[in-house]
Amino acid sequence: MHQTDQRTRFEQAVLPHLDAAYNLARWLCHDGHDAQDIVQESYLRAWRGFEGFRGGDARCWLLTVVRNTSYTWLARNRTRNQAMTPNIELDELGSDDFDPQTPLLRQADHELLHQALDALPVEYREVVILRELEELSYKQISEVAQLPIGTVMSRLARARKRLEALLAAQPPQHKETVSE
Amino acid sequence: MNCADAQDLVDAYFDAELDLVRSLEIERHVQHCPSCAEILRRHRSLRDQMQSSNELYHRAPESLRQAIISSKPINGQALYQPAKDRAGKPIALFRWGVGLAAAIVATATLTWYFATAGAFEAPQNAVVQELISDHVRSLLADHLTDVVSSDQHTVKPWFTGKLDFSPPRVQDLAESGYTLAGGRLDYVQNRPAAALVYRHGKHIINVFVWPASDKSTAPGPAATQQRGYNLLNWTSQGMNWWIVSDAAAADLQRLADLLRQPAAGAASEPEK
Repeated sequence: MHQTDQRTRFEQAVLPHLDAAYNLARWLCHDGHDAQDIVQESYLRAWRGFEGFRGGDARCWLLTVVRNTSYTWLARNRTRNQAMTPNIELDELGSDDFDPQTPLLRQADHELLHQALDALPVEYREVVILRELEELSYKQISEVAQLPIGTVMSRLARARKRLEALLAAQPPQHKETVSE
Repeated sequence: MNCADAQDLVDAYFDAELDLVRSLEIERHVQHCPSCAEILRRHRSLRDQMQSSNELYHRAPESLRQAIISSKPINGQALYQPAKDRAGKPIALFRWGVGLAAAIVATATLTWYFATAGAFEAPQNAVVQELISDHVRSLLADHLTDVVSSDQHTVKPWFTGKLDFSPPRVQDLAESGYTLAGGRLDYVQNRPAAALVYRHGKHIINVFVWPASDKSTAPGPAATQQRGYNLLNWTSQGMNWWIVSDAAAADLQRLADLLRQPAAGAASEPEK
């Protein structure tokens, strides 16, 4: 009887967050099949650890498991986790001076955005995904990623700067011609 | 506030993580600092792109969903060896046993969840997501209202000069149970929008208004539900109206009816 109650509580707590779990795993490990394995493993670990879950934010609790499982996977599969090479070296970008003349991010270039995110180091990508796609607060991100809030803030700021610079610095043929 | 400090805080401001005092300082600083204003514009553009793209948020494939529910590994051998029972057989993810009823409930729950989650696709979904975020952020960090007043004659003029369109008609509907708490400048789809804030019982209701980009008038209010929030929207006289709240849908419908009534004494204009 207790087992059934536990199962029901577990389902209600974590099944609604399956998309969030998959999204995070997918962004951390790049590959859909690996992400599925990571999610299955995460649910298994979450089930095993469910006794220790005292209620509260089930999504963050599950995402912490997914994040840890993903990093364990990454550590074992380093060679498969080469960041896709962006067209532009990251070091060349990220000037701290914003020139108001450079165009704002262009609309709807989703593939480019996807590549730009994939090009970020995983520690930067992680906080952007959790903030912008999962909409976690700084406190929640600090719990899931096990980082001090100050580190969350600085990584997020730097990640945004890199993304915005990457997306604004287009090869000339992709730029919309600006009539003078 | 000097620019160096502002740049340290601008992300936190953008993420609604700042207290009211520092938020106001940032807002004041941004009004006369092009660099910081530019940072905010770029952040907003990045967020819009990330949240409006269908390909960025990866939803779990159906096969994974089924595997989790039915507890069968899908790629043959699991990545890590699952725990084994005494006979050496792998223990399934979840012990269903004779819990068929539980399985049915779980499937029904998931079906319901994904039916409602998938009900509205982009591009309107992008607006819905953004409005829910605006609503939620408005509840944090004491950022609910920029102008606190239940007096429509205070709130409406406050918007003048802050919006690039004529402020909407503001009504206090306290007699009907919807008390005007004030107004707030917000942003939707990268442009300024008016947010009228109402209290209904324990609930906060945000009413977002901004110019519609096309000439069509949506038929009567359309209801949406996402992330546990109820939304109601219509277009009237060239303006988009969106109501967002965790209050019950019927309560939002009543507010919509009140807001859509022509002004007392004014000739009612036909909907174009």
